[in-house]
Amino acid sequence: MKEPILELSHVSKTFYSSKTGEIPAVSDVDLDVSEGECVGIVGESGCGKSTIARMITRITDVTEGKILLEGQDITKVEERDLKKIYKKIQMVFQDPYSVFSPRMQVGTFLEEGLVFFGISSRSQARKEAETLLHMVELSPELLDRFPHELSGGQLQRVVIGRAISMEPRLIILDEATSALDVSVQKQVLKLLVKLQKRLGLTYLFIGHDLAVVRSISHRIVIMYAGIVVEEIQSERIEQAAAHPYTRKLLESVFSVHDREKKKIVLETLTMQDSGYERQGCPYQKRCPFVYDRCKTEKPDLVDYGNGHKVRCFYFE
Amino acid sequence: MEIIRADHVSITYDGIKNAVNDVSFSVEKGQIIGIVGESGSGKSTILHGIQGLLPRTSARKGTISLFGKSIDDMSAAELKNIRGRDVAMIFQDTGRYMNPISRIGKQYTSFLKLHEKKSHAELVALEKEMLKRVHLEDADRILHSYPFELSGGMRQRVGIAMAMSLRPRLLLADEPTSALDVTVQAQVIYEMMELRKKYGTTIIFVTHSMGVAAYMSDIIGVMQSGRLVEWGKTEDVISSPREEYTKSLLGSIIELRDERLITTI
Repeated sequence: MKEPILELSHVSKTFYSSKTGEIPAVSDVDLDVSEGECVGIVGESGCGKSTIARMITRITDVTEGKILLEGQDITKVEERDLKKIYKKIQMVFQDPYSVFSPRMQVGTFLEEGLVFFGISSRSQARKEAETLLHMVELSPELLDRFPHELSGGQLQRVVIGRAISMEPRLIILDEATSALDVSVQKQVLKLLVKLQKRLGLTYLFIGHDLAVVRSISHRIVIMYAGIVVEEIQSERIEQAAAHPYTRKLLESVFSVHDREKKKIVLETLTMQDSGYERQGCPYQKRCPFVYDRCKTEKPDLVDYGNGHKVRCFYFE
Repeated sequence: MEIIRADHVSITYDGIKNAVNDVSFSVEKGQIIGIVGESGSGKSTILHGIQGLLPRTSARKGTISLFGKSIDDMSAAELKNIRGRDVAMIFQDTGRYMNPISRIGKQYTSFLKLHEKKSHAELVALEKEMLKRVHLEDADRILHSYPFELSGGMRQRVGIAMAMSLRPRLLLADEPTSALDVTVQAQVIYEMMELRKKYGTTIIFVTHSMGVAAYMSDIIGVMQSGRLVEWGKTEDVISSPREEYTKSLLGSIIELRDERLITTI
């Protein structure tokens, strides 16, 4: 087993609101990512997956816990030293347009980072930017273009290009292909895999589409209501996933092939189905297998070997 | 019975010439039609065109008929009466089309009053009945809530309940499940399928998800830069598409049963 590049231990984030009090957005999350690996985080909106990304990049502070990047606890790094971390961790967001200044040409966008972090001199930066475009399979002609002249897919490739130009230890991809059309999405995913293999990159891939996350990840972490409910090798997810919520996610995927076979199990929605239970398992209200015990005790994340961890009494 | 007929319809809209380009199709009563395509292919524009809801700055060629009558031959009053009563529409995020500072019950009632001459109490009873039918619990509480107090999935169910309150003959849905979480998406799809089962509602919906289209529809239409390039029975379109474009769309889908990209590249 290689040393993990990233290690989260007992990380929690609590938001406070005057109306509802404490909101535990992320509770006691342990997570590790090794060199050259792609770990996927899957969950629905509000499950805390983006909050995790924001804590790793220090956009948001942790409430509790440690985040180790190559052994160094980045939650303790002083503000003035953050620049060093920003170089090591790069992030790609869902909407590439939001990353650009509308008046900044693609070339300038790529050169800026290279010069700022001292990766290349101002005179060499142009050449370097050209190489980067080549790596993300775009024509060097795009260097002089403005963001609105590029398609969403092209722009996301530029953002990926800038991310790899930092020679980062970790790239966080937060719904990085979710806004793209299907044909473009697949192309960008392929590019990410190629770059990973060629450059030995390490990814944390956050998404809501289980099929997509499975396709690009070696391991998948499934989150519900701020808690990791299951962790599994991605090739085994369909056969071996055990948590009722993971099974529910698998059932909810619509494939073009299961037209007639598929049965939808109906759930009644109430106004208190948030999952942020004070007591017991967060999934208890939606779970078809709920015991008395699930309503009073919080299950632990139990390691069943082979990289498979499940947080569920029913499975124990 | 023919519910909709589009004859060589072209629409220039938002400065885009032929956002919809020479599109013809016909929809029978009780059919569920899924229109798929990528962003900018004109699939939403078609839905708006059917309702006669395009902005004044747009221009349409060709004819659209609803229930056997061209919408150009209908008076403004006739068209207004059809919308909401005979033709209902749900959007990607129903919440965005609600008044954020008005309680859901109030908005619901004022919508019903446009078309129904019933007492307030009767209308509220209908609202509760409809909310129950889309499997929302505590209807009282929902009617007293503001849109932002509900989750996206709940708002979308409210949207379906509202749209179906007047038993429309035709439901138009523009990406009805795209903004929803995957587990909730399945629920909303279920509710829409129930409508046809119970009331024989004809449904035309637009989606970018081939999986959803395949699951729900009898007929799939594929749009590419304004053109309806393929139109056929769902089984046929999925298993033996005629058009290269449809093939490439199908080839781009990432499915759970596929080999993973990390092992194939």
